[in-house]
Amino acid sequence: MTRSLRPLAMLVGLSLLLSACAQITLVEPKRHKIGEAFSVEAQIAWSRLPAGKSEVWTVDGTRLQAIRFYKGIEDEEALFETRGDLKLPVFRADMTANDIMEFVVDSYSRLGASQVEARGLRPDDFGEAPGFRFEFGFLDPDGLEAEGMASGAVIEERLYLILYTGSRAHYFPKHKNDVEKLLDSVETI
Amino acid sequence: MTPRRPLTALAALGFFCASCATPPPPDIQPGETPSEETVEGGLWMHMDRAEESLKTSGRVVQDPALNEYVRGIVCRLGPEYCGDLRVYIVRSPGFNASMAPNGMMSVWTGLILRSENEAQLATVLGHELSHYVKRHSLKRWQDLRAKTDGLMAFQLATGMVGLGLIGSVAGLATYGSVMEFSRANEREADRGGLHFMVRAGYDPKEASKIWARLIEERDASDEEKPSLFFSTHPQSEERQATLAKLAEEMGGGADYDVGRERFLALTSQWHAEWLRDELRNRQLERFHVVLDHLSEPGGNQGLVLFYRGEAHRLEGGEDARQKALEAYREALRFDDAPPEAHRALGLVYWSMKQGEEAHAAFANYLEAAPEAQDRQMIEYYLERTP
Repeated sequence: MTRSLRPLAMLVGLSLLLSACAQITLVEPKRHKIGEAFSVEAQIAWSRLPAGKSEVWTVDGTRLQAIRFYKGIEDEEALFETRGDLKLPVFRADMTANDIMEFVVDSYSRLGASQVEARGLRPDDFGEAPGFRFEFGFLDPDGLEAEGMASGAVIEERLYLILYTGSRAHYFPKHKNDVEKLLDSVETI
Repeated sequence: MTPRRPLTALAALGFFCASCATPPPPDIQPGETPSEETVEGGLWMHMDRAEESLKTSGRVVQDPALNEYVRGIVCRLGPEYCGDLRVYIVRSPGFNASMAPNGMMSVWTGLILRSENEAQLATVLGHELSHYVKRHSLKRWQDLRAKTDGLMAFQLATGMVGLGLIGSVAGLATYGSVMEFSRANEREADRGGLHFMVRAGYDPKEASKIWARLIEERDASDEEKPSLFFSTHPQSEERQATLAKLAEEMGGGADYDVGRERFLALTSQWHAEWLRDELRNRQLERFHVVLDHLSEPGGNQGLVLFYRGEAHRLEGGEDARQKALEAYREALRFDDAPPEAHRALGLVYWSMKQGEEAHAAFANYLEAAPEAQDRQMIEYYLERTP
């Protein structure tokens, strides 16, 4: 049944982090170091899932809402790790904020999200670094409405990024304010 | 549609499994609904559930005019089956359409974008209609039944491996991939589709052209599986040649309808949205072929040139960047170039550290799109360019 692998690969891609939940740990409401480059202040308790070069925090499950922390995406690296032959857009160190927004939008699209619409791209400090912020909406692979927001910066040719996504109906708004405070709390190291 | 009892259908499935040598079923008749006590009734029941999921998925294009138009083509092809079919336009890039045994036809926007006229779209719709009339899903089940156990065959024939996800494009794709009909069924659907076309007054010579288009995209791409439709519809060169020969025999000529103007009047307004979907799919070689066919004078030339530039920009590298610049500049000579062409020009100049040119392009963008979603970011670039 190899012909069915491609669409399945898309779904596997978006839910990859769900399947990578071998070690779930508690994130207490206090300041946490994310990788070697920055730290954030958690307002509430989250569950943490390691996911390769990134880590994911969630309260209700990653398909319902999740914060994804990227600890330095390097040149030619993709946003998501995928299985199969699915090619994803890659980050390039000379990308502008507009390019990075497109990189995020297209990565979600390639993984099976549709009607991904980004908005409100604006300059915003990421800790001490000049960065950007934007919001986006999309339909997940099951056709459910979802929302997202992004904050990040390119520091020494690496992309540091925080993405918060969740279902529009309940789970995204449920912790939106907590995540906005978390984004405002970023301190670069 | 009358409700069917799952247990009855599954009982019928078990009964059916006991006798695997089954003669091919006759064509489905207009208005015919299989009994719930048959395997076919079970197939329908499962696809009814899938259809409910698709309806609420948010991916179905709701525009009344476009829906009426595409449904009108299906009804022109098979007026006697018009009341039995539901047509769903699914917003998704790529060349694809599918037909479920219960009369649920899905047509991807990527297919409409790739059709050059109504007759070419009718080719694929007629082909799918033939699958329905010839009960190819049931035949597929019978073929599978001969090779595997009953429940597995049932799952494959209904696409149940992806049923929970059938409302998603990925789920539909999974359904399409398991619904690979036999080569004989495909030939039968081609011939039947051509018959529907001729009967409806569409030029049958257009049939082979849409297949040629698919081959062109396949050959342009270095991907192993360039199109989902291709993976489920093999032997395209052979089919293209056969269709061309059949069209000659059926006497395709000047009296037949191609419907290009009518087709473009209803669909070209969607090109901007659908081209963006294709670009995001990042299959750039195929995307260039799509653009080649939309580049004719009188079309959306500014829009097409803008997306040509976008494709080059995403290819990366200095040569591609220069090609992108040329395409954006050329696009802006046409009134239908989107404001984003100015922004794209500005971003390329910015990356080349040509501040003066970048500044002018960004200023033009904000003038053309004062409510731009990224206005604050563009103002940031403007402050940092001379």
